[in-house]
Amino acid sequence: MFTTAITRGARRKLAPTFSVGGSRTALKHALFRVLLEAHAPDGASTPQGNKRLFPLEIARATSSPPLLQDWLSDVEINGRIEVGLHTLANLLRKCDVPVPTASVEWLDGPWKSFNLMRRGPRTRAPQKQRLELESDFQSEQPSDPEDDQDAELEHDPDATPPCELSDEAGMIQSVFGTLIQRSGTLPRSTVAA
Amino acid sequence: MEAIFCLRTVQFLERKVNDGELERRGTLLVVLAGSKLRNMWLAEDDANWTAGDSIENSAFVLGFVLSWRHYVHKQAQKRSSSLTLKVNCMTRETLEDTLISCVTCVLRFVAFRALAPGSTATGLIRQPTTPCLPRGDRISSRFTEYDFNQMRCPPHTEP
Repeated sequence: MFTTAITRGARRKLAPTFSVGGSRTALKHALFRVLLEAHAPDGASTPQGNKRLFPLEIARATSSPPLLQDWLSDVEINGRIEVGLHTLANLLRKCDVPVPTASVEWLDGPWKSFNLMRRGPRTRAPQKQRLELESDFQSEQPSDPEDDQDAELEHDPDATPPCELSDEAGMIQSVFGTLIQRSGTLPRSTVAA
Repeated sequence: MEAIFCLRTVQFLERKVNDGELERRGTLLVVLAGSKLRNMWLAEDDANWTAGDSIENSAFVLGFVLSWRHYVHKQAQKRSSSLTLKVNCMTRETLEDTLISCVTCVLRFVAFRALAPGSTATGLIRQPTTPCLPRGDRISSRFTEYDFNQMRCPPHTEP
């Protein structure tokens, strides 16, 4: 099932790894071997070369996934979520990022922002109404938005979250302003040798 | 990826921040969230792992990415701020994928509980040839693959 799903590009990428010279049959055999090894019994040995292809499956095949310990109740799950959020809050404070004090509501603002983001582009309004909206938009525009998504969110009446993050902008901006750029690459110096 | 989002990198960054390199705080938060994102699915290899650890990690990552985007969005509205969602936050698609991953990580426990109540060592599909084969109540795609195999061609090619 897996081999029929791989694309031509994936075959080209995988073929040199297995040194099969582009032979489709040999490649299939190699892939099946990897899959079988990935689902082999615990403790099965795996060739070093295959780890580059399916590291996660290989890792699982060579270990014993633990049983779910009991069936967690909703109370237990909620309790663990609270613990995770408290851990995050403590770390943010340590990094001089002010966090709201109301622990129950402190995700409301971000969630509302996320829901607005998921709403997607608005449905097109009639021409006259759209002109009115555009004039309102221009008169109220506080800054020059750099992308359409920001502009859309800024002028939504629901955009004001019920729970504001504390606005000690100097410190918090110094933290979030240095986060990774959209390219997704981290500074090389941050990777431990 | 594993070289970046690992405990060693987090410790390295913590040392740098404690030494006064405060500009690394943002990177520290991202690396820590990334390592927790990875651990909430794969830390089951650790002998000390518990199901609650995965939930804690997912809650941490969920709160972090939401707060991050919320803050940048609020700052982007201000004329004086130089932050924008385009430059200083994850892409919309990456953020949604991360949130889905976190929510799914938590809800799988609820799903397992609902689908296999009382199940301990046996799973959703009992195989006559290997009745003691554990599946269903373990967290891995490996045991799902057993079931797919069973449905495709029983009982000759059990891995």
